[in-house]
Amino acid sequence: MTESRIEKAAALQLIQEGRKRSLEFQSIKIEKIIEVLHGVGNVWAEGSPYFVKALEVLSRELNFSKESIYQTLLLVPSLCDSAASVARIKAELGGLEALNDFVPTKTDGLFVKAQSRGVILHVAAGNVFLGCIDSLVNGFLTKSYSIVKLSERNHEFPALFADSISAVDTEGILKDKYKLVFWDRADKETEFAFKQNVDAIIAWGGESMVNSYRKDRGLQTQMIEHGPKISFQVVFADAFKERKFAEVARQAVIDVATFDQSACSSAQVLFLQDEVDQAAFGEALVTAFKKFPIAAGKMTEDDAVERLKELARGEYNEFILGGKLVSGSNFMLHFDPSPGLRLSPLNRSLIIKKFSNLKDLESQISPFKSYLQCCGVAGSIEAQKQLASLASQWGVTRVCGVGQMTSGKLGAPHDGEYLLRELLKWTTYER
Amino acid sequence: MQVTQELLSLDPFDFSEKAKQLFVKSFSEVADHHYRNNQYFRKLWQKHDITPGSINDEISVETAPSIMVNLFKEFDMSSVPENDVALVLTSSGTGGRKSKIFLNEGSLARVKRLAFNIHKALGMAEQEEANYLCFSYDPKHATDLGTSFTDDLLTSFTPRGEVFYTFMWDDKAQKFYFNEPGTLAALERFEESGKPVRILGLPAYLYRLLKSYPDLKFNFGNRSWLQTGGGWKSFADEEIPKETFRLFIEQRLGIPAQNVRDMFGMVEHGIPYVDCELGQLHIPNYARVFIRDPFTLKRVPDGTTGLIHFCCTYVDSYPSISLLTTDWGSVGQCSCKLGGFTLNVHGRAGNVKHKGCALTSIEMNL
Repeated sequence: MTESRIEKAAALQLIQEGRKRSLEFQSIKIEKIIEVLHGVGNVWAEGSPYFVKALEVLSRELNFSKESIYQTLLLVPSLCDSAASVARIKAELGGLEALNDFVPTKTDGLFVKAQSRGVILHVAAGNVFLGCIDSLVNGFLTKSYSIVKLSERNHEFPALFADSISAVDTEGILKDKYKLVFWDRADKETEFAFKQNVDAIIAWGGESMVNSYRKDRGLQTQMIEHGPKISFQVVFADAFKERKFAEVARQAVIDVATFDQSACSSAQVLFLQDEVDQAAFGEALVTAFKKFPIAAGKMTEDDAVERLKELARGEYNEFILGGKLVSGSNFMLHFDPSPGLRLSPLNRSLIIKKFSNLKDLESQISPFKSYLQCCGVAGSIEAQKQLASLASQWGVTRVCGVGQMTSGKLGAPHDGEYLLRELLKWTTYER
Repeated sequence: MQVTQELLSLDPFDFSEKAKQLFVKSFSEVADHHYRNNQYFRKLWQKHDITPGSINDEISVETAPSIMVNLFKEFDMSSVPENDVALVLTSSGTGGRKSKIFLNEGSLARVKRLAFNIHKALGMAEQEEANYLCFSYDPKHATDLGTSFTDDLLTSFTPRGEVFYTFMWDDKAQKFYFNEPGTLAALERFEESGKPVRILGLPAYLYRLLKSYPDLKFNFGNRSWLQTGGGWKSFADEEIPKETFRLFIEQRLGIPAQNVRDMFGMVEHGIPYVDCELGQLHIPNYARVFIRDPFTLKRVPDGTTGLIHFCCTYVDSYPSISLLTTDWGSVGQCSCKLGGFTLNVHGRAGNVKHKGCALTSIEMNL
């Protein structure tokens, strides 16, 4: 089940085939799906042939450092892990059984079943290479037939994952329930065929991509969007009552350096409360960047231009507005005196802004209300709780500790939605 | 700006040693003005341990610190008192923030003069009256846009007949729209008049118009010109090679291919880089173009693609005399008689994922 370039006629045929397979999928118990998936995860253990091959392929294909790719590949078994799958399903659906049959609810005589939407087109983002695998696993766990459109820069790794499914899945539980495909961006006919005929599209990526899939959808085609997001950190002055600058800085840097800021949950801006000694905290951040154990990835020429723009901005702020710019070989810190959340040039570039109180913070982030994702916070429990309560009103969909932004808890929603639930619809049976 | 006036009295394509040395002196002169009147410029030069007085040869121009173009979009950067500003121009803002450029009377006069000189040297300034069709915004409603300023300038190289702007303002909708019927009528009117025609502006709209009316043909004759500029913008998917476009225009409008000239310009850097008859953008002696590696900012060899770095001397009201752009380009040579070097522009630099993204749009409006 390896990747293939697809055109309109084949796309329509594939969707028809997908409908048949999707029906077959419904008769397979979720427990069996989880078991096979777990087996797939096992062959991706650290140092396994798939692991080694993927490390080689991805190091060639992507700009991330080898260490970064290594660390990310370690996550593959956990994506497929049976205990994790069970925990996720329980957290989102209450239990496994609803995926197999009608289950009773608390209302007398009311039974519900979690039903797959059918044929799902997954449009994978290229920024985090595990994204398409994660999305495919969600497809399996919801008994959906998955058509995964690969991003331009990430082909070989998904093909390797497909190969591992074929090798493990001797009973044919998963291996014919998905297809990896790609088509040229200019091939609007094929795109149109998918948009008109699949049951749902789950789109991960940038604004223009999400917009293009919104348009021309069939009446029955559900759109599940995970468009562009921005994440930030908040460090309260009381964070340092019990913790040292070095400790908070070390954790803040994890959120910036992991994946070289390419994840939506990567911190781009750190808001530092007025009372904090900016220079001392800055020094701690510099040390933490220098000590971060995973090497930074390679920048593209276009990345370098974004970095130049930020360097120029930083230099101007330093000369005229009292800002400060510190740049090292693998990081950039810009203490920007102008208020307001904004985009960082990424590749380990953190913009630091000051805030006085929560009202001030709200005014600085409010223009981005619809695009806020994660807020990493360091402060007393009281300050964290207060922020979490307000942040949810501001549009933030996840609040966590600084240092945890790019990881996440099992069963937690993503972008404010439960991912498995998005791929399902509930059928009720009222007796 | 005595030396700069002297420079502008020379032929723009005079590359004699004397002319080149005059450019260096002119650069030193204008740098001195910014050094004295612009705090950021001065601090930048001080950081690089360089003074305007040390600009005395081509190498010193090349190594003078540059200001990156995004700063002109994010900060007001003027080197003259507010009272001296005669005109504020903004860029078209394609895919990003708009630059705000402050021109005083002197800079305004110089940019007009140098543009005239360049067009004259290319045989594009004439005494015969011409009708103008401008594929741009009606300046009555878009007085601060750089593109409108450019149109106004480009219609000044001949006595003006009728000037028709294709993008009209809709009072009700409060936005510009492409006036297709009006444009078609103007083309017919211009052909009937027998006067030479000059068509200016974005190539995509003219191309799309002619493509949508396959039977539409005009014969505007050898004294007519088409001068494009601004690239294909949001119609990049439909862009055709320059040579094909030139032949298409010759066939459909009867304007000789050698009279179809593209131009590259920026509101932050007012030197027009105009095609010669062979379709190559020429660098006049009023400017220097260096191509830089985006990682090291070192100059790359001619023919190699990198970031375009422009130097010029005409402007003392804002400090863009050494401007690092976010455009990819390379420097080459041409076999035509103009001499000097040519500029090839290869498109926008920077991450596409940041462009056209809602997040970026929010930033633009802050």
